[in-house]
Amino acid sequence: MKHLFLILSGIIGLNSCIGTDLIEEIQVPEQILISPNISSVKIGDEVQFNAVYTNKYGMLENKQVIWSTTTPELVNVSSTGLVKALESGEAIIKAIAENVVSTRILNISSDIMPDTTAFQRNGTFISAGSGSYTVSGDVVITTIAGKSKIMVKENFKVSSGPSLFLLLTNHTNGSYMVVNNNPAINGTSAQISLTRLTNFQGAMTWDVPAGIDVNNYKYALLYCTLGPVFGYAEVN
Amino acid sequence: MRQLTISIFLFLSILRLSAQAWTKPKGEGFYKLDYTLIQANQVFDPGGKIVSFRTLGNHTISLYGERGITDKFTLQAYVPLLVRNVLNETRGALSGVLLEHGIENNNIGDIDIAFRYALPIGKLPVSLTILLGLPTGNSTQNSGLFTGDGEFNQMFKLSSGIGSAKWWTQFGLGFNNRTKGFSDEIRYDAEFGYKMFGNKLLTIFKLSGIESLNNGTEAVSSTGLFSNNVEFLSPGLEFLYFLKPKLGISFRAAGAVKGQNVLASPSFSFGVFTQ
Repeated sequence: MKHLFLILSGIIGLNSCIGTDLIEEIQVPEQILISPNISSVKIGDEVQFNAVYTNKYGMLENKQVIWSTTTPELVNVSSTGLVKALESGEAIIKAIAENVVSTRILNISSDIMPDTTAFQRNGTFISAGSGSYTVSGDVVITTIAGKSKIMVKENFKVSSGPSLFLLLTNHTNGSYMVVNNNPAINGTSAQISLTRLTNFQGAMTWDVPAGIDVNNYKYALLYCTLGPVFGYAEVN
Repeated sequence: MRQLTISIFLFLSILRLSAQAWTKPKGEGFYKLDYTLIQANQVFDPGGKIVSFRTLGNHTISLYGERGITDKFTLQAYVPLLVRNVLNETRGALSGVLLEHGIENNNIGDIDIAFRYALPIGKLPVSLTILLGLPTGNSTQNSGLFTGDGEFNQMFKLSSGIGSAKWWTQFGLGFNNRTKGFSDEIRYDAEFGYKMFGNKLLTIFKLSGIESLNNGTEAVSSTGLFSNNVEFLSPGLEFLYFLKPKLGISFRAAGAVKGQNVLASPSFSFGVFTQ
């Protein structure tokens, strides 16, 4: 019997290695993603910006980023993205890689001026048509003083799933990257919930993790890491 | 045809501890060691529709045994000694970039202990089985790749059948009381067996099913893979071949024609038995 058990264990070993599932990808525009999402500073402040390049599949690629400004009288920009505010005005920062350009506008003032700029985007979830899994309800993305939150309203409801995450995405086909407790960010998706959802209806709010600019993404989306997209909302 | 390639997960035990109208004579037993494999990239979702999933492999080495304590009382046990779950990694088809890591989990599964008693009713054999499902498996892994459901269930089941020297048929109907917010279940099965080649080959056609009463709490549904509100109707075919009078090998294939919250792929088992 002992030998039989060893033989069967051997069969399991031979048959049960982790394989690979290939997920169809959709091409997206190449991007430079700049962080942090700061829009106002005072004269004399220094801000270290970072930028990453994402290719036509939305994936991060290690490319050299060249920093510059079209308003050198207002800011000094180093080759590593360190920006120093010199004069009051509306400064424009540029990051370029692989002929892709991204800009960031900085409002500079002489006084300590709290950044009260507020933006809001809204959307309504619809089901993605993955079997019987459904999502409904409204979502609001608010950005105040450079910090963003995503809130689903009281009318939100989603089918329960064992491994369901909230993402911001640029398409709805399911080729996303999700990492537990360590948000995955690229040009295709940004992970908002750091762990799987355990509540499936009612009002909830998530702080958008640092390094994610919500303006880089078109959809709020509920994705089960075991496969299906449950539903999404286009946020306008 | 596509529907016939659907199957089951975490409920392998129902295929073993099923309709058994007859008790074992005192001192006689049947013992089987086997390996069961399910590889699935589709599931029946909560509405019974088939949807694509990441490829999940479930591999189980188990021991099944039954022994007559008296002529009217048989003890049964199903022990999944090793359950290995494997979830494939995902990569972009065009970029080749790793999107999500693969996951694996190895542990003992949930053990079933059952007592079968021959009831003195009429001329047909009728037995009552009381099955206890022990939560010995792992039901806490973060990824949801569990090897057990974490709850203690009790099933009460009546079975009856008829047969002759060459064939038999039997039926069973049971109520499975589940705890910790899991939905209770009605379990049923029917079996037809035929002996061939001088009783060396036993061919068994079995139909097994679970109907959930859907009376559990919704929160339990999210705790793991397919452990609550599971339903299926599964035909299966099994062959037992005697190499010697008390030693043989077995093969079983099972599928399902409908399901809910359950993997959708055939299961195959290979085993060695003695009696």
